[in-house]
Amino acid sequence: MNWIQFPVIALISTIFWVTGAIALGFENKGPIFKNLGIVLTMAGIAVFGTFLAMLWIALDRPPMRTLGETRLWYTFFIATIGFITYLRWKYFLFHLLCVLFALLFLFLNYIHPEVHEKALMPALQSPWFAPHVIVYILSYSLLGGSCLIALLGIYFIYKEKSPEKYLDLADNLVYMGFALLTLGLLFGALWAKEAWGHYWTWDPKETWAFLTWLTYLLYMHYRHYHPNRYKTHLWVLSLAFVVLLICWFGINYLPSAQNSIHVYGG
Amino acid sequence: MNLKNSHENLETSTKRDLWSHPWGYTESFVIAAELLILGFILEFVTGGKGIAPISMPYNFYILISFTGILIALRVFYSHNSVVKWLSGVPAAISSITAFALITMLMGFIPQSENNSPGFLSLIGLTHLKSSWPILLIQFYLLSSLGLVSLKRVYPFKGKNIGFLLNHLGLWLTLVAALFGSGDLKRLTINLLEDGKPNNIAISQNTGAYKLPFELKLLNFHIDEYVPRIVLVNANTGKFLLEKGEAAIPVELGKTYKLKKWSVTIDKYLEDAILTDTILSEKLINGSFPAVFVTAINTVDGRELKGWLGTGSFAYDPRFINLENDIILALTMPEVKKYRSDVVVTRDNEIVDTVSIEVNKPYNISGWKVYQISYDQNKGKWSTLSVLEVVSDPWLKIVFIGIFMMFGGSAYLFWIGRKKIN
Repeated sequence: MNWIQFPVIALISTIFWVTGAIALGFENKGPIFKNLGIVLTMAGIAVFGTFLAMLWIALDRPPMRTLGETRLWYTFFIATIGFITYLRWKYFLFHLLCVLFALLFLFLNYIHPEVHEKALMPALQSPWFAPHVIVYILSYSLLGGSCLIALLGIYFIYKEKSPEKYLDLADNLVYMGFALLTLGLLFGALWAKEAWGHYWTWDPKETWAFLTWLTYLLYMHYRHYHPNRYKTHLWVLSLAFVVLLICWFGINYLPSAQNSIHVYGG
Repeated sequence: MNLKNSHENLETSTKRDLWSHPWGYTESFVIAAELLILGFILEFVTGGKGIAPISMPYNFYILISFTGILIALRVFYSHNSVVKWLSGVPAAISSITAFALITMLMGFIPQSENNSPGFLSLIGLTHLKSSWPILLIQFYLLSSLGLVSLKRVYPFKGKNIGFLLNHLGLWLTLVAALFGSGDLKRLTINLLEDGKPNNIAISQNTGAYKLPFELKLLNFHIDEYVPRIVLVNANTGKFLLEKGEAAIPVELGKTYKLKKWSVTIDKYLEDAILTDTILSEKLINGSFPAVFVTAINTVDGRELKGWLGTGSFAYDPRFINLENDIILALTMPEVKKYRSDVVVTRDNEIVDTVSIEVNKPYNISGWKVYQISYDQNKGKWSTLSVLEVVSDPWLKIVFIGIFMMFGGSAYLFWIGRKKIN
């Protein structure tokens, strides 16, 4: 299994996820559709998860070094999270959005694959590497989910419906996502102390990660103490994700970040 | 006259409204903005030099006073309206916002250690991490966060544990990072494979520093990945690879398909040198990886044999010209690991013999010793090893704060928002 086989895997997962989502869309036509949808979606997740595992084995290192590799994990987690929230809370629309998001990332990797080479530089050869990246990508997936919900909520306000139900779901994701965001930041600090001599150096990626963290911190405080200001919550939540995206890959294009130790290799 | 009076009344009445207690968001954001502006003015007045961090014992005195004041405010003045405001949500939100704003400036404006000329530098925007604005905002945030935490410490309730782990943990980490920065020593020490112990470390800012121990380099060693074989455009020097394709690591006996060429690795020398025109294997200064290959053009059957070598600081690389503008080459091997075998002595007595490598620092009497660099030109033949020595007496407090936040994160993850309400 290697990166060259990615288009085939992407196609298989796409077929599973799209047909699965269509089947789930007809769930009120009978349990057969629902069960079929669940099986197809799970098959898609299983295929993609297997691909990730085999890529890990083939590369002989965690496939988390390049931007393209982190997008693979993102695809995997966002699809899984959408599916689990569907099973748990029955948000079909959210599941559908997560599938579309996962497909978008598959497509991005298809048209712009990063070079997935075998070598791992010494600083990345650390037991902190895998947990640091995994909690971050998991967190990004949850917070990406919360952003999709916020956009749905804005649409509902525009249609003059209450977005409260969706905001509650968003909060569940934000709290989990923020907890993982904190862990990622702290794992990074502990790792940095072992590898680079200091736990915090205001490297551009650190700066943006801290800003992302502060933005979600702001959202949580404001949401908690002013629970009825839906419109503000929804906008803050959407904008927070923009900060997150700058932190994730936007900084590669910022002049302030050209010397960052975090700019993705390729 | 009347009109003017009423106008003045209106003004004073809005003013009184604005600053009458309890203070809300408007007052909080005005205070945050004033602190920021004051910070930039202070930076400008002091010539944009930033703030040199304060070291022992003064940082300790200031921290004790600051903490003492917060505790006194909580215990004796908790009903004072300003204390109430500073322990409240608007102060918290405005201080987080102001901190986020500075962080965002730091994220957009390139930051540098050295003072560069220009207006941005003069008001501190190029060295924000050690500037007046961030210091003032940090004090605002730490006052708010400190009081908020104290409110839940005293009177103490079991259900506040998650809250305290997060808030007090963050407070401890930020405080230790801020006040401890003056006691942080980060120095580099150059060791040569010359058998002499060295205890003089160098800092960019403060010059030479005598360490309480000596380090002697026995051996500096680099492990490399195997080189990769690749087609190169002879004119541009660019690798000829498909989208998403990586150059292939060489392996003895394997045959690779590179475009229309089929390339077999017949011999593989890890340490080759060039004697006359023949490559032979010899582990000496400057030797480099080389392979003997047979390349067959799958279109016209043409066959080429020859040596490829990465070259080193002492020898030129070896290529094979396959076509007019296409050459077959080996890439420089990437570094897998590098380490220094070091004898640690104190007062001429051997304390330890250790291997220091990236991600595996060595601890000695409050110092951590890191492998950071070597002579990049010479690569695996470098006889120079650059180590970093770091002392941070406040690290334990930072770590206590970090581990408290680990607990707090677990709490947030499992309990979620609903239960907190």
